[in-house]
Amino acid sequence: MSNAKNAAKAAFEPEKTLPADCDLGAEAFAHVGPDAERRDEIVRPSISYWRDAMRRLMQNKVAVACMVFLVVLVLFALIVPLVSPYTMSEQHLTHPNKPMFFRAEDGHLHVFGTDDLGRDLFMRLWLGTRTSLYIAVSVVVINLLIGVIYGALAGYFGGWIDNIMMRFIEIIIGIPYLIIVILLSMIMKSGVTSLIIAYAIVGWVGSARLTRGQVLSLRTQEFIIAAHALGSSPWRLITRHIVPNLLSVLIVNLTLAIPSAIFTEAFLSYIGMGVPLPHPSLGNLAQEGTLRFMFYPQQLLLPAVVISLTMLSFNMLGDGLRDALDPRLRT
Amino acid sequence: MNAEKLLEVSALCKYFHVSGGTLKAVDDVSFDIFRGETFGLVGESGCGKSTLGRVLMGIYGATKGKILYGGAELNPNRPGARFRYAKKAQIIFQDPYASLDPRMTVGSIIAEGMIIHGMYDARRRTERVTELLEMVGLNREHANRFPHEFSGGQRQRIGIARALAIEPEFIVCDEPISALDVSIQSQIINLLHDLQERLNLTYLFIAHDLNVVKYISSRIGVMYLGHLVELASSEELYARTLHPYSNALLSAVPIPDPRAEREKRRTILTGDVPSPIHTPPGCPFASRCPSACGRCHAEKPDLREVTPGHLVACHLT
Repeated sequence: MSNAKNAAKAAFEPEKTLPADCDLGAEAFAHVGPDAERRDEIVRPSISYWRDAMRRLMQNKVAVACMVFLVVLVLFALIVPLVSPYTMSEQHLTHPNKPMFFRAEDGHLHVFGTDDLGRDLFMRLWLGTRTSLYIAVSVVVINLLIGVIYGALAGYFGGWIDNIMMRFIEIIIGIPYLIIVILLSMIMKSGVTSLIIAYAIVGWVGSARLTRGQVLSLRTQEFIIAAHALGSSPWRLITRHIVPNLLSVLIVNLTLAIPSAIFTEAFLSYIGMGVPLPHPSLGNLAQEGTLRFMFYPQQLLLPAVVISLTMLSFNMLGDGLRDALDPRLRT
Repeated sequence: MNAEKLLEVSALCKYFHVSGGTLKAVDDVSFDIFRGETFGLVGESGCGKSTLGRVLMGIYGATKGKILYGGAELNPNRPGARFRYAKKAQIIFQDPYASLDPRMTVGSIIAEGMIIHGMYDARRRTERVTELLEMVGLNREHANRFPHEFSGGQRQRIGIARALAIEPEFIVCDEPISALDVSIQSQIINLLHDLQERLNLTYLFIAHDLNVVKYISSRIGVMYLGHLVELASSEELYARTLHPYSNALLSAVPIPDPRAEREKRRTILTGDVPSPIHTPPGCPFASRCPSACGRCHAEKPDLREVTPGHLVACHLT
C-alpha cells in the first residue's frame, strides 16, 4: 500500500526541482493572519443602502445623460410657455406653415416655425410636452398609489382575500381601455382630467399585480422570518425589510411606466380621444403634423423626436435605476 | 448532565389547513430539552423537523399542546410575550443565501436585533458588531459589506452572529450546514461547538446528516411523519437502535471504509412516506416497516420509556 503510493508519487514528480537544502516542511509555513496595523485600509466607508445606490447611479454615464436630458426637457416645458411672447392659440394668418427660425415682419422669431393657422410651434411644442408629461406623471403616480396599496393588501393577507382581489383585477383587465375612455367622454367634459381618470381606472392593475407578487414572495423569505424571529414589530418588518426590497422594483416600474403613459396619451390624442384642441399635447401636434407631412415635415418630426427621446430617456434611466438599486450588480 | 429542563414540550401539534384537508406537520410530540445540551432532531425531508423548530421559536403558533420555556408557558399570541421570548431564543437558518436581507449591510444585519431590543447605545453596538464578527471568525472590515459579497460559509457565520447578537440562551439550528460544502460544514459545526462552550448555549440541532448529529448532539430525537418515534442519548441510539425506522435511517449512513461499507447490511425501505394530509390510522411507519404486524396497522403506538432515557414508539420492542 505504502510502496504503491510512493511509486505513484515518484511517477508524478519525475525529478526534484527544489535544491536539496530547501526543506519545505510544515514548520516552514506560519499563519500570518490579517495585518493589524494596516487592516483599516481596506475598510469600506459605512454608507447607507440609498447613498450607495445613488453613487452607483452616478457612475452610469447613460443614466446620468438621460437624467440631464429629462431635467432640461422639464425646464423647457415649464419655462418656455411662460416667457414666450405668443399664446398657445394665437394665430398669425399672414404667415402660416413657415419653416424653422422664421422671423416675422414684426420682428418676432418663430424658432420652430408656425403651423397652418400661423401658431408658434416652439411655444406649442413645449406646452404640449408639459401637458403630456403632466398627464403621464400624474397617471403613473395615481396608478402606483392605488396599485401598491391594493397589491400589498392582497399579498399580505393572502388566502381567500387575495383570491377575490385578484379575480376583480382580472375583470378590470378584461375591459378594453378605449371603451372606458369613450364612455367617460360621454359623461365627462373631455379634457386632461377625464383622460387621467380614465387611465387610472384601468392602469393600476399592473402595479397591483407586481406589488402582490413581490409581497407574496418576500413574506416567505427567510430573512423576513429571521427579522420576525428577532422580535421585529410588524411596522419595523414592513418599513425596514419589505418596503426597501419592494421600493427598488417599484421605482423601476415607475420610470418604465411613464414612457408607456406618454405613448398612450399621444395615441389617444392622435385618434382624437385625448386632449381637446386647441390645447396642444405631443399626440395632438403629431396628428396635425401628419396632415402636412408631405410639405412641411418638421411639423411631424419635431413632436415625434420629443416623444421618442423622452421615452428613450425614461427607459434608459429605468434600466440604470434597476442596476443601481440592486446591490448584487454592484461594480 | 445537570438535569435542569430548559424547554418542555408536551403533546405539541401543528396543523396546516391546505386544499384537500389538514396537513399534520407535527403531531403529538413531547420531549424535554435540558439546559446546556444539544438536542439533535433527525428525519427525512418533510417529516416536520423544521416546522417543529419554528413552532418552538414561536414563529408559528401551535395548534395544540404546550411549550414550557424555563417553567413558563410560551404563548406567542399574547402581546409582548413573543418579543420577550425572542430575546432568549434565536434561530439559524438552512439557506445562507435567503436568510440575509440583500439590501442591508452585514453590520446593520447583525445590529438589528440589538436595536429591536434596545441593547446598548449606537457606539457600543458598533463595538459589539466587531466583537461578534470576530467571534464567528470574520473580520471587522466585513461590517460595511453586503451579504452577496460573501461565500456560503461566511454568510452562515453572519447568520450565527445575528442570532448571537442579542445574547440568547437557546438557539434552534435549522439545518445550518446542509447547504454548505463538506469542508465548510466542519468549520461551522466546530464554530457552533466552541460557541456553545463559551456562551453556555442550548441547541436544538435539526439535520438529516446523521454523522454530524451524532458528533454534536448529546441526545437525539428521530422524527417520522410528524411523530417523534425514538428518543435516546446519542451513544445509546447508535449502539442500541430500537425503532425500525431509526434502524433504516442509521443503516443508510455511509461508512468511510469501502470494505466495511460493502459488507454492511442495509435496511432498504420500500414505498413512499404516506401523505401527511391523509395519515394512516395505526403506526405512521407501518406501511413501510419491514416487520409490521396487524396491530401496527390498527393501533398507534405511544412513546414509552424502554430503558431509562431511551424512548421509542413501537409495538414490537
